[in-house]
Amino acid sequence: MSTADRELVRRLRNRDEQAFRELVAEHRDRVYNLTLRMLGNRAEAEDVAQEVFIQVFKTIDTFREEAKLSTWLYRVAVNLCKNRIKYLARRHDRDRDQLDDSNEAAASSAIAAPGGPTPRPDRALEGAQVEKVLQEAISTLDEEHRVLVVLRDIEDLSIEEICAITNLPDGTVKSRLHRARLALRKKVTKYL
Amino acid sequence: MSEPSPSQSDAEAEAERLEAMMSDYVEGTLSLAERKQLEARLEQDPALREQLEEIRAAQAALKRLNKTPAPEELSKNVEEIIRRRSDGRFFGRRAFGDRVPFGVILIVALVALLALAILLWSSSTGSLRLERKDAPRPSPEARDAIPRP
Repeated sequence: MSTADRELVRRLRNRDEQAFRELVAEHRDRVYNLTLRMLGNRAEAEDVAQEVFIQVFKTIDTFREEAKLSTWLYRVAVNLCKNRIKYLARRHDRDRDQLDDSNEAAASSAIAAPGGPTPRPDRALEGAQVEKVLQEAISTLDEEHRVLVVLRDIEDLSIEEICAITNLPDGTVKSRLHRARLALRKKVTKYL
Repeated sequence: MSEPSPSQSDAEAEAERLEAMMSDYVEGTLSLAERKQLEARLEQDPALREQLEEIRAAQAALKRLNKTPAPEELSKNVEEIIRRRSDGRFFGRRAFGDRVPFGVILIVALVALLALAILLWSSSTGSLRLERKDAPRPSPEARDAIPRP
């Protein structure tokens, strides 16, 4: 762990409000992006991202400083996402349309945005549709495959970091990643 | 359920090894010898070549996903939740009770109480003021010497 991380952890353990703000500012976008891709729903993703920081702050005394702070943060995020997926599955919550609606709305507003260069409408819609198709495909991957695709191909984490986050051996991560990519490709072939 | 036979588990292990190799190949992290070995196999096996193309296509598709920034209010919401759940005591230097385990506080308190009890028990006055046995007692004359109102 770096000296800067060590110092940040020390301040967090002393309940330093400024340290907490620094932690959130540094990691919020990546944590949110991870929860969004794992859950496929903006409201759920925001809720879980908030819980990640609350849990990290609450349990900072149990952090053993063997891994990087960001690795630990990701581990907490992945575990909370898995719990939420299970919870949503139990509730038979199939409402994953919110992201799609907001993507389409974002694409439409991008087309209509005054001032900037006017994008070709067919291209802008294509982008939103690609996003929609991919997100739906990711959301239907099984949980273990989803984690690996999100961490490696979207969040761009190294295999070593993924092993530390998931507690899986190197060979298993690579083999499952291969299967996850194939499964994803199968789901999107007819669209992309 | 019957256990997998040795040849079955060998085949599974071999499949996993190949999958891991393919992952390393697309990531560009295979050693030169392994790369040559895999490329020779790819030349012989069209199904494997197709898998490789599929994997590359999946990776390329995933690269097209936008990074979505967190909502502006996320940080503020987190702080508010922490304050609300902790009744406003979460931030700031931790109280003595948070830093020292309750058991230690209890033991110290019990020892202090015991010491106080012993002190009071040994005092003939029943107060914390100890009566010194060798202290000179005032003579009756001395009492008379005190002016009375």
